[in-house]
Amino acid sequence: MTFFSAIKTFFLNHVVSRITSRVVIVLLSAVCVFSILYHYFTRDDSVSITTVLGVIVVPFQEGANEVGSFLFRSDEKRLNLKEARERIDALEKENLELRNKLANAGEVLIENEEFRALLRAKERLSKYEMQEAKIIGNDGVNCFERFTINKGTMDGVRIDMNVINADGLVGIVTSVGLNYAVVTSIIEDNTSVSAMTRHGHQNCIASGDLSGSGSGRMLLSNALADFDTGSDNALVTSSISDKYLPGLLIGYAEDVVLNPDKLTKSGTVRTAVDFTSLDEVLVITTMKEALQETEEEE
Amino acid sequence: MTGLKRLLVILISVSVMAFLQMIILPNVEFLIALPNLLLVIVMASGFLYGKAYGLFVGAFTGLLIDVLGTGTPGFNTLILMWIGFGDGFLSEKMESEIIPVLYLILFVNEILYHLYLFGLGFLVGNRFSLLPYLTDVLIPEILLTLLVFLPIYGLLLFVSKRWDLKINKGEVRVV
Repeated sequence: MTFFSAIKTFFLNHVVSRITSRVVIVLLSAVCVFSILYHYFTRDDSVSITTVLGVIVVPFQEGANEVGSFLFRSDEKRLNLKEARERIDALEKENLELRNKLANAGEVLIENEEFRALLRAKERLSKYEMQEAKIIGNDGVNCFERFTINKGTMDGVRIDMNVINADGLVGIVTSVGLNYAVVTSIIEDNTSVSAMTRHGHQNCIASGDLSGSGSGRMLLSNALADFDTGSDNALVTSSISDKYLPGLLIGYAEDVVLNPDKLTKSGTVRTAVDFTSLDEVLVITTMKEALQETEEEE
Repeated sequence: MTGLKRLLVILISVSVMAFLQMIILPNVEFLIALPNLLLVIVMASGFLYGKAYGLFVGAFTGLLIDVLGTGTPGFNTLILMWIGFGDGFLSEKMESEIIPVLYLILFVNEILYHLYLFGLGFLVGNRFSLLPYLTDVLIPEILLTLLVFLPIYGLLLFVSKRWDLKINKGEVRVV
């Protein structure tokens, strides 16, 4: 008994009396700093006091959260009910309109087919990586036959990368500097793009023509005698081209006539892009060669 | 007995404030920021009961925030501990409590706390940019905290005086 009381007295006099809050705060700070640094350097959340306490605390927290959201969200729910009724009215009205529209569905079905083709092209486009660029210089007078953009090798632009804008194919990068690149457009006099019809995949060549470039026209040649655009006269870049990615919209075939040799057809192409007012373009940083490689891998 | 009563008051107020701040208030949608109720409690306990209690409450609430929040134990504990300790230290030095001075100290506490969160936040993986942090978090929070300070502190002061728990027997003055 005396032994224990002696220990107790010793403990009270020499240990407890010396534990001031200063000692405690220094010790606790050291523990905290150690814990923070440990977590910073190891990024290890698997074994920690948080996990241990979390096991106890989280169920309470979840329950309390339920209570909190019940108390303060029910009001919002009532409001939403009113909104929902309004929405139902609007939807019923829309439903009626839609029923009327269903009568015209036959026409829509045909359109649908066309849109689907467009969609497929778009999906293919979305696979490519693009780089936005602004046109900062133009060699032509008022038509963008050859122009400079503000992106160069620093931004990953390389020679032979395709340039498009929202409407369709614009051209191809022909020379590139550190922070600029020169793009030759498809309407330039001696450029030619191997093209195909979007639907039938019939090949032809669309080549730039100085005389027609002002009006946004290109020459169509080397089309076979059975070349028939059908209802959709859109021309896209062909998959056999070695520089252009397939499926980019070039323009629309017009005035296609049989040549005197009765073997080929020729005509004109109205470009999809308006080359008189270009401002921003997209450089597709995916290149044809790389694309072929990845396809082979797949 | 005094110690037990103080602990009881602290435990109840910390639980209530933690419940409010972490569970109820985040669900209230019109609030653009949350008042830092726990910081108010830390400061109040430091002021009413002295630096040892400030230290204890700071460490306790800090740990609570760490467990429920960021995930790095010790991060909030460290700063809140020091804030509680510092406030208690100040309180023991002050002759009387002047409300505007208390507001000033609370403001300084908030600034210190957020300086710490912002400055050392990278240690626990926070990436803030300064201006949005300032306008979206710091300023609304400080305003709201200053707003809720007086009712909370007043209530605690009332309870503490009633039970004679207060460490600083000086007057509480408005000016």
